[in-house]
Formats: sequence, C-alpha cells, structure tokens
Amino acid sequence: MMKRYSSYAAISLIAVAVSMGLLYATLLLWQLHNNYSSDLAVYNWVTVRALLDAGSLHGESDAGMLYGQLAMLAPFYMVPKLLPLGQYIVSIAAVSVLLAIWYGDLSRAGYGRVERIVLILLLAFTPAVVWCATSGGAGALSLLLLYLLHKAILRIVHEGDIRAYIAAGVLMALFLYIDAIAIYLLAILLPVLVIFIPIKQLKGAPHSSLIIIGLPLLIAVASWLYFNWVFYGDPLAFLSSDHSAFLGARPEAESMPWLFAYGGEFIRPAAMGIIYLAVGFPVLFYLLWKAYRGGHGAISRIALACYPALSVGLATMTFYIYSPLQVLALLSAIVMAEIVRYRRRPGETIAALLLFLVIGMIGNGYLVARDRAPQIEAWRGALQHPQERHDNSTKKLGQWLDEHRLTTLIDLHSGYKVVAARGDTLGLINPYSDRYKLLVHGALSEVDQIVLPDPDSDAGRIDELNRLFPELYDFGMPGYHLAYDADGWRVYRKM
Amino acid sequence: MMNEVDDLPMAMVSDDVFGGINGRMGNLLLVKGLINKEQLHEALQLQQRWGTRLGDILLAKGWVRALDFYHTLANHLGKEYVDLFSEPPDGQLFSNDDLSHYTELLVLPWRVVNGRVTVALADPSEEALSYIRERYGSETDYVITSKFDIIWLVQRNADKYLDTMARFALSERDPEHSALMVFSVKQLAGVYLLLSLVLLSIALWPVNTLIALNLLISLGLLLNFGFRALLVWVAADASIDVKVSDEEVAALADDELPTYTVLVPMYKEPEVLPIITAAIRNFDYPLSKLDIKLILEEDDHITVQTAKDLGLEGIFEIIRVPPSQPRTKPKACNYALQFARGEYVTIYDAEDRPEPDQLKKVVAAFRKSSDDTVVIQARLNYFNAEENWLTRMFTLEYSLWFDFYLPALDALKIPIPLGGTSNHFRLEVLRQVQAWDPYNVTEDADLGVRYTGLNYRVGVVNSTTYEEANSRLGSWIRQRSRWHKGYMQTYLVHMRHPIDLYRTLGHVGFWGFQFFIGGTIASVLIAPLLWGIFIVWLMTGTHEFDQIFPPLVLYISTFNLMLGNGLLIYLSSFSVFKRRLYRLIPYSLFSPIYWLLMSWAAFKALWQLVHAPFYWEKTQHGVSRFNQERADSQIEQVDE
Repeated sequence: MMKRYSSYAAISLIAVAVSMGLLYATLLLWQLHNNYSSDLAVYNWVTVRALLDAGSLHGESDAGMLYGQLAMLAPFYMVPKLLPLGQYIVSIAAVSVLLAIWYGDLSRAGYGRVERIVLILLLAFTPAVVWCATSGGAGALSLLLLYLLHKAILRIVHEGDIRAYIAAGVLMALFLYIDAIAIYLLAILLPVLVIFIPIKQLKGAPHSSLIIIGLPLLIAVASWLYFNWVFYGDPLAFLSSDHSAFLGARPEAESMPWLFAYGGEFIRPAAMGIIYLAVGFPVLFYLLWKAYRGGHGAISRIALACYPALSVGLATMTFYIYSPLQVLALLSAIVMAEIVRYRRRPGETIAALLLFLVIGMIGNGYLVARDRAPQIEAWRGALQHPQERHDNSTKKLGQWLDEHRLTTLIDLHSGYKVVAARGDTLGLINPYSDRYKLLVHGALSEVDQIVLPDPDSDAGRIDELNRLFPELYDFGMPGYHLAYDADGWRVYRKM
Repeated sequence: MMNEVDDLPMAMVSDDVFGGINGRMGNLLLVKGLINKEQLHEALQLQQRWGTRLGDILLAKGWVRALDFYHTLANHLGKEYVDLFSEPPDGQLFSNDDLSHYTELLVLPWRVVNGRVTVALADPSEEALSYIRERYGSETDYVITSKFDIIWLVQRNADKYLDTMARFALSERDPEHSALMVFSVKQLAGVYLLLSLVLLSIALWPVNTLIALNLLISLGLLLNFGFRALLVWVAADASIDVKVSDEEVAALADDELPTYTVLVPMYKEPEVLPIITAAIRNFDYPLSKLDIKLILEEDDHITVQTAKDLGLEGIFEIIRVPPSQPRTKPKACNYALQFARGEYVTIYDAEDRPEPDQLKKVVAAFRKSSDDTVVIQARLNYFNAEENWLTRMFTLEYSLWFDFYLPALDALKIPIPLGGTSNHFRLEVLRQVQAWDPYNVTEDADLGVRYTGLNYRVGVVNSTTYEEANSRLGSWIRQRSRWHKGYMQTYLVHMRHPIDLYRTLGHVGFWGFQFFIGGTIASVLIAPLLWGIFIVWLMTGTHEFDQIFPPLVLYISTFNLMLGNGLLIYLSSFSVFKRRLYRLIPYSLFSPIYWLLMSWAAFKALWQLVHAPFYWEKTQHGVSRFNQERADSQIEQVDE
C-alpha cells in the first residue's frame, strides 16, 4: 500500500518548500541588489511573456519548437508582475520543491527530524545547489527531474517495479523538453542503463529493455523532429537555427576559458569531470563504498554516479557547456537519491555522512570559486559585492519605451533585455506574432516605432531587422524620424 | 468368499457412506472386478481428503464405467436399475416447474407403480430422498438410474421450455437489458435529431461546425489517451497483482471446497476437445466436485461423436443444445446453465488451458472478497504468442487488456467488460440476473457492465488461462468484428437510460464506461478518417484542411498524433512486462498497423450491427501450428 502523508507531514513538506523558497529568494534579492542578472533567465522570461501576450499560439511562430524547454515553463511565467524575481521564480520553485520532496523521502527512509533538517540545510547551502536555484538557468528544473529519474532508476535496480520503468522512461522524455543538456546526459546514460536492468530481463531480450526505457525518449525526439519539419520545413531546424538552445556555448566558445582549454576534446574533460566529482561530491564515494559493502547493487550505482563525468566530456567535445559545473551541479540530485537509499546498520549515526557532506560543500565552494566562466563569475561576484552594470543602455531604452507606449517593432532575440526593462511585451510586435511577419514582409510602414541595435554591436549582429533592412539603422526610412539614439540603440518613429 | 478389502484399514473402508444393505459399495465393486485394490485404496484416500462420496470419486477418475457403477449401486441398495431409454418415464409426471430439482438432485418421476409414484434417481443423497418424500409423499419408492439418462430425458421432455428460457428469459423479464432490440425508439430519435442538427449546422455554418466537430473528436481522443495512461499507471502498482497468494491456495481444505460447474461451449471443434478435457483433468481441484458440461449443438454430430468416442469420465456431461435462433454462445450457455449443480460456475473455450490452480484461486478470491462480488475474471493470454506477427500483436493487446486495464478498472470501480472465457460466477446470482444475453455477441462484456449496474462487484484474479490466438487474418477479422459489434450492442443497451446509468455507476463508473466501452469503439471508427486526412496532407501538402484546424485544434490534433499515439505504443510495449515476454516488446512499434486492422473489423461490425446484429462470427480454433509441446514449454517458461 502506498504510504499516505498525514496532514502533519503534508504541512511539513509545504513548510520546507516555503522556507527554502524564501531563503533562496532572499539570497537572490541580495544578488540582484548587487546588479546580478542572468541573460538566460531574462531571455526565457521575455520569450514566454511575448508568446503569452501575443494572445494566440500559432504553430509557425511558436518559439516552443525551437526552444522546447520554454513551453514547459510557460505556466510559471504567467504569474504577473513578479519582477524582479519573476525571471527566476522557476529556478527557486524547482529547487524548493525538490528539497521538500527529498525531506519527505528522507522521512520515509527512516531519518529522524533533526537528521532531516541538518541534511536539508547542508544540501540547500551546497554551492552547486545554490547556483542552480538562483542563477536563473534550466539547472534547477534539471536538478528536480534528475532526482526523480535517479529515484526511478534505483527502484528499477532494487525492485524492478513497473512504475519505476514508466517513470524513468517518461522523465527522460520530459528532460529533453526541459533542458538541452539532457542530450549529453542521456546519450551516456542510455547505454549505461544495461547495467541497471535485472539480468533475467536482459538475458531474455536486451533490446527490449532499452525499448521500454528509451521509447518515450524516442517518441519525444521523433515528435520534435516532426514539429520542426511541420512548422519550419526542416526537421533539424532546432539545431540549425542561430537561436537554438541546443547550440549551448558554441557561439561564444572563444570567450569561455573552459572551452578554450578543452573544447572539442573528450578524454581530458571527462577526466576533469571525475576530478571535479571527487572534489565536489566526495560523499558519493562514501555512499557507494557503503553500498558495495552492503552488496546493494554497487556496480550499477557506481555507474549511475559516474556517468555525468563522461557527459562533461561529451558536452565539452561539442562545445555545449561553458563550465563543467553545468553538468556536475546536477550530481547533487544523485547524492540526494543515494542518501535516501543509504541503509544504516541499527544504531549507526549519520556523522560520517554529514562529515562527507561538509567536505563536499567546501570542495564545491572551491570549484565554484576557481571557475572562470563569465556567467559563474558574475553570479559568484554578486554574492559578495555590487557588480558593475553592463545593461545600462538596454535599461535606459526599456524605460524610454515604457514611457512611449506606441506599437513598436522589435526583434526579441537581440532586444530581450530592452523588453525586460520595459516590463512587458504588450504593444510590442515581436517575431512570435503573425503581425511581425506581415510587417517585415512588405508592410513595414504601418508600425509606429522600430527599435534597432547598432549593426556592429553584439546585439546588432544577430538582429533580424538589421539583416532584413541593412540600411535602416543608419538611414532610417521615409515617413519616420529618429526618436531615440543612445548607447548603440535607435528608435525610428512614424511622423 | 474372502473379502478382498480386508487388508485395507477399516477406518477408511467404513467411510464409505454408501454402506447399504448388501455391504459396502467399494467392496462390491472390488468383488465384481470393476475396480482393483489400488484404485479402491487411492479412492478411499481421496475420499478422506476431498470429503465426497466414493462413487463420485470413482466416476470422476474414470475407474469404473457409469453403467456398471449404477448397476452396482442399485444392487448395493437393493433397488432396481432402470434404463430410461428402454423403459421411459411416464410423461404425465414430468413438470417443468420441477426442472431445477431434476437437474440439481438428479431425480426424475418415473412411473406410478401400485398406486405409488416411483422416482428414478442417480444419487440417493439425503437431500434427494427428502425432496422425493416432500414432493411425492412418504410412500414413494425409488429406482436407480444413470445421471446421464436423467439429463438426457430432462432435455428430451423439456426441450422447448429449456430452449425458450435460454433465448427469452432476459428479454422477457428484463427487456431493458436485452440486446434483442438493437436501438430503442428514443435512441433512434436521438440519433436522428442529432444528425439533423449537425447537417443543418453544416449547411448554415460549415466551417464552424466542422471545427466544433473536429475539436470534439480531438478532445475525446485526448481524454481517451489520458484515461488509458491512468489505467496502466494504476495497474502498474505492484500491490495490485497480489490477489491470491500460493499460500492462500495451499491453505484451502479440499473437503471444504464447493461443487464447481464448468461450462465448455463448442461448435464443430472435435480436434480441440482432448485439449480442454486434459486441462480440466489437470485441475488442482477435487475432480468429484466438478460438474462439467460439454455444451454441443445438437446438429454438430462430429463433435458429439468425438466426445462419445473419447470415453470421458463420469464428471463430463454432454448437453445437446437444440438448433434455434440466435445460434450464439450465450444462448448455448444459458441452456446448459439450467443443468448446473455447482455453487460457482465458469466458462472455458474448447482450446483453453487454464492454470491448474485457477479454480482454487477463485474460491479463495471469492472468500476474501466482499459479499457483493459475484463474478471474478481470470486473466487471458495466448500459448501461441510467437506463432506469427498477428499472434504477437494479439498477445500484446490481450496482455494490456487483462494484465493492466481490467485490474485497474477493478481498482477504480469502473464496470469491467468480462473476457470471453474464464469468468467465474456465483451460480445463484447469475441465475437471478437471467444469465447471459443470448442476443449480445459479447455477452460477457455486457454481463460485467450489467452486474456493476446492479451494484454487484466484478473482481479480477491473478490466474491465467492460455488460449489459442487467432493466427489467420480472415479469422481474426471475423472474431474482432464480433467483439466490436458486441461492444456496440453493450454500449447501446446500457445507454438506453443514460441518466439512470449515471446515478447507478456514479461519476467514475459512468465516465469510465464511456471511455472504455464507448471510447474503444469511437476511436477505432474515427482513426481511419484522421489518418486519412493526415496522409492526404502529408502527400499533397494541401491547405484544404487548414480552415478546420485552427491553432487550438491543430495543437491538440498534433499532440494526439505524435504523443497520444506514441503513448499508446508505449503502453503496448509495457503490456507483456508482467509476463516477461520481453521478446514481444519490439513488436509494439507495429501497433499502428494493428490499429488499422481493428478499424477494418470495426467498420464490418458497424455494418453487421445494422444488417445482422445477432449473427455470431465463429472463431475457428485448433488451427495453430503450434504443437502442444511447444505450448507447454512456453507456459512453463513463463511460469519460471
């Protein structure tokens, strides 16, 4: 029989989620106060807001096809006016919910209340987890998903439960829609799954075992290819587009120290991944040693713990990640799943476990501190002291557009920070609306305002309006006058 | 003369309840040389275990011919033996009102001799004797005859009555639940009105109407996908499968087990007769407590003759069903049910291979179920799963149905459409509800829903009957079209009063019925249309359909196409998981082709529903090239 939570237990879980949420929100407010801003979080928020404010969904302009992950997040962004936290609410909520679920799992696994609280706090303050919760990327949701996935896989290893197979299959498919990094993790995990599957089943029909777990993923990929083909005419449009999330750090590879050192390689970054694992998550080795001594599926659990290190190699080889922490932060989920599975002898304390967790926190902090990726440096810096603002120009333009609310044409791919500074996308004609396509394909003069970045700037180079109308920024167009010109941004307004 | 049983323990010999005026029955049979010492010894041991009479055991084991036994019984009791064929009873004494007593107690008023009614009986039990005294007076005498003579004579004398009861009991006593009327007047009026409105709407607002219909279909399919996913998730719970454990079966005392009636309807299937009889002999159940009816059509001479030639044990009784319309399995079962003597009754098809402990498991399941559980369905699967592509797909489908869907319906208290065989009933309640609907070609599915509507519970037990999967396409289409037609009949019957049905089944039960019965039919009928639109669009790139696929509908349809159908394929791949038939999993990828075959059968069923609603598309069994050894080894492999 499934254990049911008592109302007291349910309240405890809600309390954990809320208190963790408040804790991370406070931390994030401090970082925002120190001028932290996550480009990815802002971009995601603006894209989803644009889709929602467009009022209707149209296949050919639905960003969900190219940024499949975003479609999953849309409901969270519908919460109005939660700025400045709005862009980060998904991350904070995901980690808070994860910790609450973990609290419940620990309770069922026999941990006492004090033990649970101590464990929750240690994990919650592990730098990798804090980074997932407050950096605004997809890491937080991935962390939650990976925890559930590993729980399911461990149930396959130990119980062979059918629901665990279903859960593992569906979670893997879902993972693909949540975070593009799933490709690199699952590409390594799927072959490794052979180790987890009960030997009887494997002997009977090895390919069938993989079908059972991999079929939802296969269906998800096939669906994605189909959607891209239907809406963009190219099944691989999600890879070939300049704006594809699947490109990861490739467009900026040259400015990323990690990719500069290891980009295009597999062995060395994978080896580095294992070193990172040892430094940042030594508790995993302790737990695996305990599993080995107890004979509790040690080999499969070692494979389960180590495959992310190989994923680091793969993701570096394809220039996807800018830092190994993007993958290795997710190891926290595996640690959490393993702690739930950790079987103590009667009367045994968790002192050693706590000790390894503390050592891991220190190691984790060290890894975060020595990471030179600009995104991590900015996040880390904002924890310590105020950072220099780099978005004054977009903020200024956003505020100006907020004061001059006319129908405005803007490319969100280049101008998302401007839109974020404006606060919403109402009245903006963006690439996700039908009207945008009509305007740029012949009826441009019907719009009140046109926003353009300097074609020589980073934003200007990817701006679609600049590409379609190369002389517009410099010379404007008949019937329009230059209404705004500052810091590499211009706005032409209808006369 | 030296008593040849003197060396047997007396305690065992004295257990012979037939101890009559001419010594003990076992002794008599032994002295006459009709049985040997070992047989008597074993029979006496079985008697202690099973708690039945020695004679029943000897007949059940086939160690003594029935005729010899009844002659000896007469001798043993000091009564005359009467051959009812050569000395037929007086028809004036026969009464249809007493039929149930004749068949259950195996008595028949024979003649009036010296002013006293003399009754022929095959089993001089205390119950039978007290019935005779009560019915015909304390001065009544009796003679001994064979139970087969009684059954045959009852059939001959009450043929028309029994046949009429088999055909019309339900339609006369509970017409609202009979499929004799395919569409009710209200249903026809409703369909007419609805179609008129839709056509009018199409004429006035063609695009909007088609969009609305499209949206309705898309949402329906979406919910159907979700419903099936829910069922699989519920049934995937490990605890749902532990209904009756081996320990619970072992704890059952044989002498406390009830008499079990086993109905085996057959038609022109002489080749599989030995298979089912062997399977029944193989039951882990006291054979002398089995009341087995081989239900054969009177004009099926070849199967009747085969049954005779097999020289079956005394527990097998042949019931000849007179030819009358409709010629359906439920009618034949209704006919034979009037001869049933068990506390429980079950049905097996001729080619079935039930697991040996199935009857015991069902008894245990009934005992641990609530009193309102009146039928328990065993799981069905195929022994020739790997014969060809069709049997593999059929096995995937059947496994999903019986291993996942039905247990989940049971758990969610949604009406369970019973499977064609291996459903086990409480006989008393089955008779109360007028048994099967002879006009419904999936009478089992209908009965499951009818039971739920009457606030009875239908359970599922963790025991499997292995059947022969249809391995030929033509035969498969015929069988499937019958199933679809039966589902249509069942849906129409139970939707005659939808509000009443809603009140009876409640929210979950009603909507579960809509999706599981209605949804199954609707989806196979609609799917070809949607696939057709998709293929035309794919091949031509036409924009003709754009208007009826506004964004919302397009998204739902696209989701259904890719993820909904993908989900069904995934569920199908899981279906054989519980049986560890992992080799079949890759075949789940062929599900869409199998669905097309189902649609083909569904359209045939729809045609037949209008033109030949009661026509029974016979499934030919015994055609599998899988030999018995192969079937045995496969089943053993699964059991490991």
